[in-house]
Amino acid sequence: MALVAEPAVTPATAASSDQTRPSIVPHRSYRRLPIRGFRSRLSSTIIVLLVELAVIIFAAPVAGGISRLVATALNGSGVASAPQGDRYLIFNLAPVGSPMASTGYETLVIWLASAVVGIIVLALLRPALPLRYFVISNLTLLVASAAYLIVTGHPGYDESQFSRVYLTTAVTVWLVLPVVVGLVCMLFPFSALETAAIILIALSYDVILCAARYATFLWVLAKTGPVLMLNLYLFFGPLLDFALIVGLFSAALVRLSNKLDKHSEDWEWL
Amino acid sequence: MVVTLKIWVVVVVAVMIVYAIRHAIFTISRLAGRQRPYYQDIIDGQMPSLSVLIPMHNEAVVAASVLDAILGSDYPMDKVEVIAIDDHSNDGTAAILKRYALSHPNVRPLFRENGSRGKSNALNAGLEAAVNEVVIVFDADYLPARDLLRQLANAFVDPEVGAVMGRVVPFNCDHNFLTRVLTMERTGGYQVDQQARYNLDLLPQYGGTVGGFRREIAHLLGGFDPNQLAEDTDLTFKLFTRGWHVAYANRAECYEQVPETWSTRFRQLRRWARGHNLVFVRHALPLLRSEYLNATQKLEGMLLLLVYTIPLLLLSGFAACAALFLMGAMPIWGAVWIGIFVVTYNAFGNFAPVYEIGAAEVLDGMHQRIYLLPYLFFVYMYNTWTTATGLIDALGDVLRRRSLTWEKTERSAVRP
Repeated sequence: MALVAEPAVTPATAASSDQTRPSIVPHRSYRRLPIRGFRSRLSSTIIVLLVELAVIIFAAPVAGGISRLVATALNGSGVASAPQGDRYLIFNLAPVGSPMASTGYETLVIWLASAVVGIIVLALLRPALPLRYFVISNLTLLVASAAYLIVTGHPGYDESQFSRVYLTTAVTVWLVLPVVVGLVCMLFPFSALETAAIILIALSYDVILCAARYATFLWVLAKTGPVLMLNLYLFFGPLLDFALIVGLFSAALVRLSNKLDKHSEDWEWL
Repeated sequence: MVVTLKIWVVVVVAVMIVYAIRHAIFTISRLAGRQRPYYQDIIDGQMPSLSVLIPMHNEAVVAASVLDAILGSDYPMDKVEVIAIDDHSNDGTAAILKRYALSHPNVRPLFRENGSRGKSNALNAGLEAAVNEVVIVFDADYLPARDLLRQLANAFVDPEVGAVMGRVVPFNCDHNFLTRVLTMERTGGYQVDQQARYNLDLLPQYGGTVGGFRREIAHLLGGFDPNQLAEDTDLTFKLFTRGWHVAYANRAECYEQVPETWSTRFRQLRRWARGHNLVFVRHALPLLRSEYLNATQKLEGMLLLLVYTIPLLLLSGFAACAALFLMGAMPIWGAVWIGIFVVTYNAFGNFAPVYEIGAAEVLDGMHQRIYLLPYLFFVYMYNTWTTATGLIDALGDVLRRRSLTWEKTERSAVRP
C-alpha cells in the first residue's frame, strides 16, 4: 500500500538565504492561491446578481410551465389534475391541484406497524451503520406521520396545500441557489464565466429535477394518501437538491484543481 | 407550540450562519490569505532535548513500526529519550518493548500493571519518568517521518509557545469508502482549519499526538486529568486561558491509520464527542474570563468548544421543521436553509462545510477525492447519532460524576 502521494510541486522561490535554501523544499503545506483581484470579484458578483435577476423574472413562467407539464403527465396516468392560481412573494404561481387518496384508520395502523417492524428488522440485521441510520430516520418520520394522522385524523397540509408548499419551496430554492453557489464559487479562483456556468447548470438541473419530482410526488400521494407526505418533502424533496448540486460543484472543483496543478505559476509559495 | 418551534428554526439557522461565516473565513485565509510562517527556517539553533512518549495498550501489531520510525529520525539521538508506556497490555507489547530497550539505550519502556488504564494515566506516568525539556507524544499507530521531531521541536525556540501540533495524514486512505472520507475530514481539519486558525492568531488545537508541549508546563498544570477523555483539547484550553500559545506545523506530517470499519469509527467519534463536551463543561467559563484572550479568540474558542453539538443542533432544526410540516405551519425559508446546512456540514470530525474540505483537497492536489463531497450528506444521520450518543454520555458523566475508562481504537496489522 502506498503512502499518500505528494502532489506535483514547483520549486519554491521564497528561500530567503543560502543557509535556509537547502532545508525549505517545496511542499503542499507551503502553497496557496493568489488573492483574486477586485475586478475579478466584481465581475463574479455582477454575474450572480444578473442570474438572480433572471430567476426573479423567469421563476413564475418556468414554474407555470412545470405545472402545465406535470398536470398533463398526471392526467395521462389517470390522475385528474389541473393548475390552479396562487401567489408567493411577487410570483404568480400555478400549483397543480390533484386528488390525494384517503387513508382509513386501519391503513394508517398498518403503515405505523410496518414502519416499527422495519426499524426492528434493521436493528436486528445490522447493515452498514450509515445505511441503517438513513433508513431508520426515514422510517421514524413515517412513524411520526402515521401517528400524527391517527391522533388528529387529518394531515397538516391537504393535497392543494402540499402542492403549493412544494412549488413555493422549489421557487425559494431557485432564489437562494445562485447566491449560495455564487458565494461558494467566489472562494475559489473560478472565472466569472465559470461561475456563471456552474450556477446556470445547477439551476437548469434543478428545474428539470423539480418537474420530474413534482409529478412523481403528486402521483404517489394520489395512490397512497398523506402518510408519505413528510418523507417525500423532507428526504426526497427539494432539500435533496443541494446534495446533488454539491456533486456539480465538486466536478467543477476537480476541473479547477487539475488546471491549477498543470499551471504551477498560478500558485504562490510561502 | 408553533411559535416556539418557528423561533427554534430561526435560532438554528442563525447559529449555522455564524459557523458558515467562520469556515468561509478559514477557507479564504488558507486558500488565498497571508500564511503565518512556522519556525521552519530554524536549522542550526540550540535544539531542545526531547522525551518522546508513546502510550501503548495492546499495540503488539504496531509497536515496532513506531519505534523504528522514531529511532530512524534525523534528530540528534543523544537529545532524545523514547518512553514507550505499556499500559496493561496482554498481547506481547511488553516483550517488544523489552527487546528494543536492550538494543537501544535511549528507549526506556515503562510498564503499567497497577492502577487505572487510560491515555491520561499513561501520559502522567510518562511525564513522571521524563527528564527532557520538551515532551513529544505519538500514538502507537502513527508513523513519523524522519524530520518530524525536528519540525515539531523548532517551535519551542519561541518562549511563548507552550505546545505544538503537526499534521495527521492517513496512510490507509485507499482502503475503503470510510477511510477515504476520513482522509477528507483530516485534510480539511489540518490543511485548512488548523492552519487558518494559526494564520489568524486564533486557537489551533494540540491534538494529543503528533505534537508536543513543554514538560515544565505540563507539571505546572498538574499533568493530565484521568477524568478527561479529550486530554488534548483539555490541555489546549488550559494553555490558551493561561496565556500560552499553540503553534501549528502544517509541514510536520505524520501518517496514521484511520478506522476501517463503521463500528470502530462509531466508538472513536462517540469518545471524541463525549470528551470534547466534557472539555466544554470545564473550560467554557474560564475561556470567557481569561485575561489573555481577546474577544475574537474567546468567540472562536466557544465555537470550537461547541463543535460537537452541531449535528444535534441541526437535527433539532430538522425535527422542528418536520413537526411544523405535520401541523401545516412549516416556514419554507427556514426549511430551505436548514436543508442547505444539513447538506454542506457533514464532514466527520470537525464538521467543516464542503467548501472548506474542497479547498483543502485543492491545496493537497488530491483531485479525485473531491468527487466524494456529495456523499458526505448520506452520513449525516450516522454523524448525528454518534455525536448525540457522545453528548448524552458526557451529560451522564457530569450528572453522575462518574469516572471514565479509555477505549482504544482498533488497529489492523496492514502497514505501508
